[in-house]
Amino acid sequence: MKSLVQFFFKLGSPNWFYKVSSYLVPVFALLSIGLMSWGLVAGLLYAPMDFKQGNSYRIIYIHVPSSFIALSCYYMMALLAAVYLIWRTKMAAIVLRSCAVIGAAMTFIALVTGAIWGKPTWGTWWVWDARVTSMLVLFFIYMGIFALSKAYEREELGSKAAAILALVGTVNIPIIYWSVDWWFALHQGATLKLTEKSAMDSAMLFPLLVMIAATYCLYVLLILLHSRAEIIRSEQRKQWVKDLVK
Amino acid sequence: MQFNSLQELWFMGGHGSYVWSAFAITATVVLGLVLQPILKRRKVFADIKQRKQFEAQQ
Amino acid sequence: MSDVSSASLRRPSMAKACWQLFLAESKLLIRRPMDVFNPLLFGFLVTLMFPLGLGPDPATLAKLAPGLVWIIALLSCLLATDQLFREDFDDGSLALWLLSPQPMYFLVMTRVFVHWLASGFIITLVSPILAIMLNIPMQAIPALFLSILIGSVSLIFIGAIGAALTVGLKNSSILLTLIILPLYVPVLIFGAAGVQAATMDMAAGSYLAILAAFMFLAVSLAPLAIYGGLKINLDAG
Repeated sequence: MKSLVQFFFKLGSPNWFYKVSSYLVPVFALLSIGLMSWGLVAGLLYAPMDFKQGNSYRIIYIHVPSSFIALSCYYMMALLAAVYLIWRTKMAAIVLRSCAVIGAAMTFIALVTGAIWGKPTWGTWWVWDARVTSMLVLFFIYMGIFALSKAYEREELGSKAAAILALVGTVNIPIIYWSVDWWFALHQGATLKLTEKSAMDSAMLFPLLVMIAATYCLYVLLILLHSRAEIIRSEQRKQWVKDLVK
Repeated sequence: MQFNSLQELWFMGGHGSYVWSAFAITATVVLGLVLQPILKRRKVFADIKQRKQFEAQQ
Repeated sequence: MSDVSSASLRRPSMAKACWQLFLAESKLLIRRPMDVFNPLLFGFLVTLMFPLGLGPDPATLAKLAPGLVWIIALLSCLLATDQLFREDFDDGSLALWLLSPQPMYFLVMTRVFVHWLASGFIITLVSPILAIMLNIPMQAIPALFLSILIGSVSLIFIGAIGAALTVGLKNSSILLTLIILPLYVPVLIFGAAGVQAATMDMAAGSYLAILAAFMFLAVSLAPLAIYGGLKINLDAG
């Protein structure tokens, strides 16, 4: 128990985080490159064609994983926001700011690939579907948190404001998802049925699982890279950072 | 292998432009996400080096 | 001398402090009526823009009116919140206010409530006029009035979070819009849907109940975030 407390204590120190993460970066870089090449080759070259959608379904191999990360990044951000506001851990703020950028980018990827996938499948780039709409709202929430964290001259205050907004968003996002679902159900009469679930062939499903694993590794890698760069930037006057430069 | 030639892979039965543009946009965004912290770190290190040299001259 | 110090040491009860704050804030608002009128003028101006953009056809306007009036009310509330803490922050009275010995949770609540009376409530009062200008069916007017009455409380309390978080920043209005509008989504959905239902002669009670649930959630939780936001900006000043 004591060592666990100590571990969290150390985790809060930028210096320690920087040193430990320097071993983790190559591991996750190799994992994400390896898994991603495997998943992409399997998904693009070997997975059979979908008999209804043709080859356009292959966009699923980036669309679904990026949507997963877009959501789980928010959970992580909310957790970090609570940790930061309660214990004032500096590392939590740094990772939180990285999460806002990565989450926004992943949401953007999910939206754009969804739009591109929609054109050949449903004949339209954009549908005000429940999931698309909530994803768009999530994108704006990420952008708001990011913009707020950058708006303050003193970084610490920007992080605090962003953390508060992230927690406000945490209360709001389930309500937003629920109301957008409800709104879509209310107006569904004229729209296409998009949420039709069909059993996926295992030859199609397997590359998807690989890609999901690969994207999670990429996500960890990105968090590490962004947090490390941010640590170096904010601690550049400290001796241990100066010692890194030969 | 689902495709017999490179052309077939590129064309993807008429859906090539959609699939490849989706993958290209994703690759661009991910590349940007990977490069941004690396460049940022490099710049900070260059700044520190410059400051060190300046201090050494003093 | 001793009178002054004993008076300053005597804490008024919480309810009394809230009441005093209520009176003081209301007086301030009465002395500066333009602060109340500007969001209203904005609402009328936006109402003028819709027929100009969509065409004057009464049937088209009537069909879109529930959503349009709700969007106008929402934007007016958002516009009104921008100035909520600005002046007090600039002249330093906000810093003094946060030093008061009363629980800030209730003081913040009172203050935002007064602000609602001057903005959300007034907008509610004129919303039937805007709706009639947009040719909404008459039977929807009560539902419209009630939904904006209840919904605007949530709008103002959520907007106040943004106002508190951006009070110390220059050019904050765009940022305020960016961080607050996504949070308005649920209120807009249920508010507009309730009015829509009423135009089709359906009961709007359940929509109002959900709006009321949002209202209680916003009123009870928002003061925490507002207080946090104000404290951050005072640290910066």
